[in-house]
Amino acid sequence: MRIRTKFLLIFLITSLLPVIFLTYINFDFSRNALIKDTQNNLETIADLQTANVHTIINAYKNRINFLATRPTVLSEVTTFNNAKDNTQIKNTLTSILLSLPDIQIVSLIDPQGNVVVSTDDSVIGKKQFISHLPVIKVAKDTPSIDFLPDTDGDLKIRFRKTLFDKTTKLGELEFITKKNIFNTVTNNYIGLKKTGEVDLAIKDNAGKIFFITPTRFKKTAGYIPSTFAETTPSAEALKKSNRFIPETSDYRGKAVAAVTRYLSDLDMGLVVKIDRDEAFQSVNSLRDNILLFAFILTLVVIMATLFFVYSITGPIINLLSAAKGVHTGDLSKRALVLSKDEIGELSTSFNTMLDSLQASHENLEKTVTERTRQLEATNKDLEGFSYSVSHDLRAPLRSIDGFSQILEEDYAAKLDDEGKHVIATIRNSTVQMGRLIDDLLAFSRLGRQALKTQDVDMTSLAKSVFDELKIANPTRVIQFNCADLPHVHGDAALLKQVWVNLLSNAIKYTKKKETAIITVACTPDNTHNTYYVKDNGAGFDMQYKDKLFGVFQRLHSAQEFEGTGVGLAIVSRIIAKHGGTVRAEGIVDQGATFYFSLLKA
Amino acid sequence: MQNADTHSLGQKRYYLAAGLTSLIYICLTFFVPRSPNNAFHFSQLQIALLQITIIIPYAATWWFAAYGLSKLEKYIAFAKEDNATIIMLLRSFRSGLLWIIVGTVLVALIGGIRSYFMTNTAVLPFFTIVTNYLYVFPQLIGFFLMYRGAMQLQASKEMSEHKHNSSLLTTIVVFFIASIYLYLMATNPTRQFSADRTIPATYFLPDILIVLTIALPILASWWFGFSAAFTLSDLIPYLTRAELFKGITRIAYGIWSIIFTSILIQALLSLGGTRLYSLGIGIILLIIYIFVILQGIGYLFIALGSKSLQKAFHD
Repeated sequence: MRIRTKFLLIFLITSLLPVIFLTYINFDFSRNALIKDTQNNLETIADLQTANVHTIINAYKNRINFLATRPTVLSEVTTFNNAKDNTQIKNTLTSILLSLPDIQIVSLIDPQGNVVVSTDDSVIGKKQFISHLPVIKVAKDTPSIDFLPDTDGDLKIRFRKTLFDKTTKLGELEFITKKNIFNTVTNNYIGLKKTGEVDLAIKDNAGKIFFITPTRFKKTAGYIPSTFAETTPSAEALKKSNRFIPETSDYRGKAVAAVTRYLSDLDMGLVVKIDRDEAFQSVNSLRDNILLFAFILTLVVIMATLFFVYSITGPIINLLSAAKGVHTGDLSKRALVLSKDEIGELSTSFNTMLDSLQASHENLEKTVTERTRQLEATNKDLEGFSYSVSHDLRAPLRSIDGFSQILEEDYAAKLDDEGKHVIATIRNSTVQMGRLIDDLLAFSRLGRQALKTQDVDMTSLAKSVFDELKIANPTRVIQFNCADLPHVHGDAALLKQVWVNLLSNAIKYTKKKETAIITVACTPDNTHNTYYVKDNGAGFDMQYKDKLFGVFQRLHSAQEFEGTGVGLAIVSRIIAKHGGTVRAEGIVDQGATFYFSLLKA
Repeated sequence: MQNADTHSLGQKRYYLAAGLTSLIYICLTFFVPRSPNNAFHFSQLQIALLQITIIIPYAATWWFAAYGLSKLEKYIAFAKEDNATIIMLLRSFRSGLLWIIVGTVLVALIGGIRSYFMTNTAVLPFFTIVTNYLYVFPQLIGFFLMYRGAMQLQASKEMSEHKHNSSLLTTIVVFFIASIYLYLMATNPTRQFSADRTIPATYFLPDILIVLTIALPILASWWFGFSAAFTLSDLIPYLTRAELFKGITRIAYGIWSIIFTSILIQALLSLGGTRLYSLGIGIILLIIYIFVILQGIGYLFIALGSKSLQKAFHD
């Protein structure tokens, strides 16, 4: 990963994570505070309205309790029951009605449930109306309450209290309200904004949830649709639950926050709820604001990070680029000094170092060039000298050999045996010296000779050389094994010389063997072909292996094996000229193997 | 001599344009009819003070832009033999900047005219739509030209070996910003209509057109802008002259600032009038000052960068 990417990641993570974390903490804290605020508000309204319901109910209960226990009322009811004269009791009921402006009908019900006296004559003689809604009655001596659905969709509330004369049941006193007395509770939207409401619900005789007052968004009392009933807060309240529900759906299927209260004495559920959209509008607004600020802060952080990272890493990358230039050998590259800080100082130091390096390099180059020039001149002089010496030695040698031959041929009769032997020795020595000079000339020529490279078939080259050498040694029994050798890219004439020298050595050093076995093969690897010539001849002691390829180095005497000691040196030089290497292995009297490696074609 | 005069005239036209447009803008804004029932119940004096502290610095940023453009123009004209690759890049950047600056100025001028028709429901939507499109399309062209210039620089012989692929980084950054921007846009309650007569709708366009002709071009322009800035910032370290390095670096910083200014203004737009006003005057002013400062910094960086380039040329 690049330093720039690393820096960007590190700076962005270390700066953005706290921003995100603090933003979230801030939002979460504020949201919880706002939710708690909403909850407190709903709880307060719920408690207030619960108290209101009880106040209303108790007011009616107290009135009917009071009237139902008044001796005059009991006496008049007894009189009516006995004499069937309703004058007194009807007057009493009428006066009660007049004293209670929110009551529509006051009636007396006989023990069989028939209306016997009423302020509304039209209901006299009829059976008391039985609602599908349950009768609320907590204890025997308390008034009962039930709900009477009206034709206009509203409910009227009926209070009934049994009249007793000591232990005898005289009948029931009944109040029916003009309208739904609970409307004052549920029509009060103070503190409930635009979507909040208070709902009062009971379960009907069949167990279905029924609103006993009109709801804010449905202006008549009625059942909650069964599709919502189970999820509504009213259902929750009727499960005797008093709690805050931050998210649920109401009778419309809308998401609301609600507080439930169960009014155990009335078996009634009270719900105070508000649409979440409205209740948490401030939370949503807060969320958007915090998001906007986090966004702006993030932009600022990203921008600052980019400026910071690019201003730091720019000079570093520039320095690296200059260093890479130096690495590839371009010492003229320099880092830009863009500031006076540590990176600027580093760039300056780097440039100073490069200046010194470049100066040293230039000096070194100059010295090397000068020395090379001197070495080349010296080498040239040496080669010229050895060539001249070798060449110039030939003339006196030819004279010695020529005059020795004249002596041998023209003065043979005058020479005794010893003289003849001396002359023969002189002539052998001149031949030997001639060979030495030839080899020396060949060796010195190699230094000046340029390679004429081409594709060389090593198999045919080795075989042809062996055939030529075999002709020169017709009496020898030689088993020559030549494998298929890979081609090589090199100078054919020089490589032929290599085969000549190695194979002639192999033939020479196996002359004491009845059957000479000479093997030529190759072991290739990934980059090189290693050719070798193996024989079963005199071999050599491995401790002298490093001397083998030196000029005039011989491990055997000239009497034992003729030669000048230049052949392997020539081999080594030719192979070195081709960029290859030579080596040798041997065991005395068991044979030797000479290897040379060349780059694959 | 004639050449120098031509260039001098070329640079003067930027100052002339900046002067003329800033004068028109200031006049348009100062003489706009003010309702005494303004949203924040400011007195006339307070409004005038606010205008002085916002409008004049805002118009001043155009002078920075004119200065930057003229210096850039001068460098391009005189140094064309100096470094063909860099000149090619700067030419693209100058064209891109010109589009962005012209868009910004036109938005301000049309926005200024729009303030005269805030209660005219027949004309207001037209001006709102035109202003919104002026925010989007000149910027898209501008950032695309910069992107093309950065890509050409990256493909050049000198820089091809230093090529870094910044598409992934750009896409991640744009995706992150786009998710918040699109959320704000989607939850804007006054996208097409506003129930409040004093707060106009933000776009006056159907959602499909908002997405296709506002949101997508804006996101594309940010992508081009970020790509250009990332690519340029990656190649800057390989420049071989200190003043060139400093100059191009400052121009890159300027582009960063302009991109962030664009993001900020779009975030505010997508917030919508209702939510914006609910932030309160203090916060709105803070955001506006951040916006003006950011834009000023952006153009100032470009001006300073262009000046450094000139120095590089003279050196």
